[in-house]
Amino acid sequence: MKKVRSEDDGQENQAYKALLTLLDDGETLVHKLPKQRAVEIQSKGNIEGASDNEEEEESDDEIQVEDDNEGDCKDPFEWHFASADLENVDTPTKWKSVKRQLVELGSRSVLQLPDPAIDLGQVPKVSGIGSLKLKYRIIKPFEQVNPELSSLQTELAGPLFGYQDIFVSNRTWENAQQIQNLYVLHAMNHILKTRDRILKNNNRLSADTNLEPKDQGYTRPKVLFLVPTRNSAVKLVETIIAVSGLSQIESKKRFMGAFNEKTEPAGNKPEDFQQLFAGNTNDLFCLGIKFTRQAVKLYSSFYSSDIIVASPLGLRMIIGNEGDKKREFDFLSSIELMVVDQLDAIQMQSWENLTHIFRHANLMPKESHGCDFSRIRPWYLDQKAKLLRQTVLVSAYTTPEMSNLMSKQCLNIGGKLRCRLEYHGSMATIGARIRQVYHRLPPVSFDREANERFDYFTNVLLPGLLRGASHDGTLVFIPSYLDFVRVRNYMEKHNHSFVVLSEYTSQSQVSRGRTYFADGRSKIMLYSQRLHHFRRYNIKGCKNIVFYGLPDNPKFYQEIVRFLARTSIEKGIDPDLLRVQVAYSKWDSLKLERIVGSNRVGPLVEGLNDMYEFF
Amino acid sequence: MPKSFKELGVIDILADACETLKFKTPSPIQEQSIPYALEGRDIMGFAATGSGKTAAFALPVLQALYENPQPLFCCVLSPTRELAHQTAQQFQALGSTMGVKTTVIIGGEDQMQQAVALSKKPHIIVATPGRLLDHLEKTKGFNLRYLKYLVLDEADRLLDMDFKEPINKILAVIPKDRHTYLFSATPSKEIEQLQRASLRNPVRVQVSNRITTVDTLLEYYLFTPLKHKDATLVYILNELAGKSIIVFVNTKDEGTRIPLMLETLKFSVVPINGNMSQSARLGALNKFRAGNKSILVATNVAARGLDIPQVDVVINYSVPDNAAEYVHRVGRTARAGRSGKAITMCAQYDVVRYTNIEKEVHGDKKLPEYPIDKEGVMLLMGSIDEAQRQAKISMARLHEKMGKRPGFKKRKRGDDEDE
Repeated sequence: MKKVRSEDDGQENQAYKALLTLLDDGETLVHKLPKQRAVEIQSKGNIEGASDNEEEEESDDEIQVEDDNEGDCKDPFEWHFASADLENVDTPTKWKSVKRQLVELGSRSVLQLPDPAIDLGQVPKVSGIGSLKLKYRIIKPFEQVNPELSSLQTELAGPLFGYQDIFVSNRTWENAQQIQNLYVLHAMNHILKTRDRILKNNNRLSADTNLEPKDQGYTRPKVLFLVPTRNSAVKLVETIIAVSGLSQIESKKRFMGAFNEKTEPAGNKPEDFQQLFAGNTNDLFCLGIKFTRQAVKLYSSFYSSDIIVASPLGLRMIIGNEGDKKREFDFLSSIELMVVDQLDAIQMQSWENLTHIFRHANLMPKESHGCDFSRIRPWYLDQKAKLLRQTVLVSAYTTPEMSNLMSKQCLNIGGKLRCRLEYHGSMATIGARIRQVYHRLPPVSFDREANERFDYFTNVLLPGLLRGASHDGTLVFIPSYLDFVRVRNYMEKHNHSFVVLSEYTSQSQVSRGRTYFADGRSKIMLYSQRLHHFRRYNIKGCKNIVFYGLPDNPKFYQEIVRFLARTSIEKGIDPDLLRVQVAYSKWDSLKLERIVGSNRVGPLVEGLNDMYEFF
Repeated sequence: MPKSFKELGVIDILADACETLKFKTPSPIQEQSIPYALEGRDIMGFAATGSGKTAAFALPVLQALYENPQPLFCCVLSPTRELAHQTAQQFQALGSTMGVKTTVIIGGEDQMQQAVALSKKPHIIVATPGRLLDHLEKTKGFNLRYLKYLVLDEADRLLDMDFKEPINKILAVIPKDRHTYLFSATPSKEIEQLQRASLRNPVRVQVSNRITTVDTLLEYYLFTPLKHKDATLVYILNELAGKSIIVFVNTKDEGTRIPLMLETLKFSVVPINGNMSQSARLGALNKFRAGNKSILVATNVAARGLDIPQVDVVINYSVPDNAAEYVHRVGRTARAGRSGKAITMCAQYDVVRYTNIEKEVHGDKKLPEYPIDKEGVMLLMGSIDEAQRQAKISMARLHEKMGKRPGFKKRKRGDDEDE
């Protein structure tokens, strides 16, 4: 992907170097005297997430005791994290599914609860901001940001504030801010509750040393936000600052300098692309944020941070690989809320980085990092932190990888809500009459599916095209890069006239390829899904389109099929001569559903025929 | 004379546990110390190893815990890591019915895991002094402010191993108002000092004045020229095939070489020595204990406190340094009323050392010579030559590897070849 964004290479290099220096210092990060460390960082310049360990005295006397809901069995914070019943919980082996008809999040949503059920109290009924158990001092700031809960927020707030895992599968650029406001509010609320409890107990302890309150984890970071780009990090951090209600922000200038950029993609691209690729699109960063009573401190050292904001790549570089000399992931040991926003964009970057992070979350730390063992919550000691962590995944659509992540890595015993929508199908709104033929691959097991698809393409689809009167302007869309390479090698071997457009193709070759294809000098174009994600080209000269596999994003399908509509208008070709062919298998049912609609996917996957045509 | 644990005042639940562990009648040290301990007195006990010391302090501690349950109730200080594990096992076995939680805190294992184990508030901590002090100083949130019982096990050895300073520091941070038991194989001036520092008005319990061996043990010596030592060892091992045997050596080098040689000769043998990591040592010990390996070749590390009840024979490949060491070594067999055999191999250079030990342990009584067929030994010489050569080659390779490893520290004792 790096190649695609050559324009911000310089930026990236700088960040790389900064990160490497940080890794070099990984070990000293913890042990060195705070003052020394801070000075060192200054001299090294712009380092993301570097430390300034000045742990200033936080004034304890300001705590409003009446604001603490200790023992309040109606507060989810209490029953989820402090309940005595947690002693006996075990990793759930079975989950029971309950259907949930949600208006905004999806009418076919499913709530999964451990079976046998673990009684952790009731998910609260939400009627408005007042019904959430919020810290007083963030209610006003939040109301300024978000005066009233929208119907989507009201629906989401129940499971979110009830500490259940949630998979939101209908993020759009329109509702993104609503969702973000809400999860930031929840995160702030969680952090303040944890922090206030600890400070209150510090007070109590200084009066009576015999008390042994259990109120913390191994390390301080409680919330992890994963977002794809620096630009999305800026938006997130701004929301965090707004909701916190604090006016004093440390290192904000430095942060804005490194993260903010006023660039906008070309205006003719779709709106979601505009949103995702606006500003700084660098995907290498990891930032610690710490709250004190008066201030928000950006660039706090990881171990003294409350929130970690990172890109999967940035955090993965710090976690390191097995066998690396410098590795650091103890600061992920006590994450209690993990939010992954724009999961679809993250999957376009690299899925492996994300799973790597999930595998390293909530492990027992290698070192103590000065934690007070007498105050660690017992379920941390029993290594059950994974079972209590709340994970919130926000995506525009579901892929099998995401579902797998939800089943394998989200073990919250409070339950997990998988939102599923009723789709009408993006096919319906293409706006042109174009013949679309769907070929169903023979049903085979998942690991043999790729071979089957390749065989079908080389034996049926491709010869069919070549036999036809003209195969000029054939665009082959290939979602997976592995398949892409395989098809490219095959085409090369058989001396077909074709051009290649993938995320690894250089800019000049892309331009040349597009021109040749538009002129008809090259008859076939191989076009990868990732390239479309990063560029959203409008390819000229398409007369035939073959979907080697369907795109994950239903919008891509629309956009690509519209290439044909464009040809028909520009060149005055009868739309009946243009054709779309799709190869699909039963493993594609998620993608298929978004494109053809929920009511058609059943017959397409299970019907008697192997070929379906749409007009 | 009381005949059972119950009559000593031990509560039913513990007496039953003793029965399931096949402790039928109390051993002399248990018989003498338990009643005083149950009265709440401090105890200072002298007894040879294998005389049931562990139960002598474990039973009163568990009984007090039963009457007054409390986390971090008792701390046992132990000189070696192996002994600490064994003591903890015994506590666990005796206290399993009352749900006692024990934790072992020793060097060479992960600090973080231990910190977590400590914060789960076990009732009993069995520890080596150095690491325990480490946790007291560094692990935030851990303290022994409410400790009720302290046990100094094998106190002579604790002092031998330079644990005096950590022990003093530990004594400074635990409550003065507590019960303390001190056990040792031998009385000495330093022990008396330690006693004054830590015990209050203790009852002195002594099972036998002189350090000596138990009656069920058959002891032999075997005079053999240094040159024929290996051959003689192999000859004896052949004769005693099928029995579980510990061979004690004085240096780590021998502790490595002899197992290599015996392995070449197809003996089922496993080493335990200071060159091995903690987990490897425990692994070796478990293999031997489970009977997978019938011969254990051990240096001094294993000499103390290892309770391996099935040992039939102890062979001193080299004469130990002093009488106490000798008693500890041969004390590995003939434990808890069983019979056993001990053979000490004595070369021409060891005669003086050997006679001194013999005199100290047995007074004027001379030990019988172990009968062997010298001709038979000579017949073995040929095959042993080859095995010795093979062992030397492997050793050289091993040394090379260790020399290359950057973190390898040169050992002070035992690695003669390096010097």
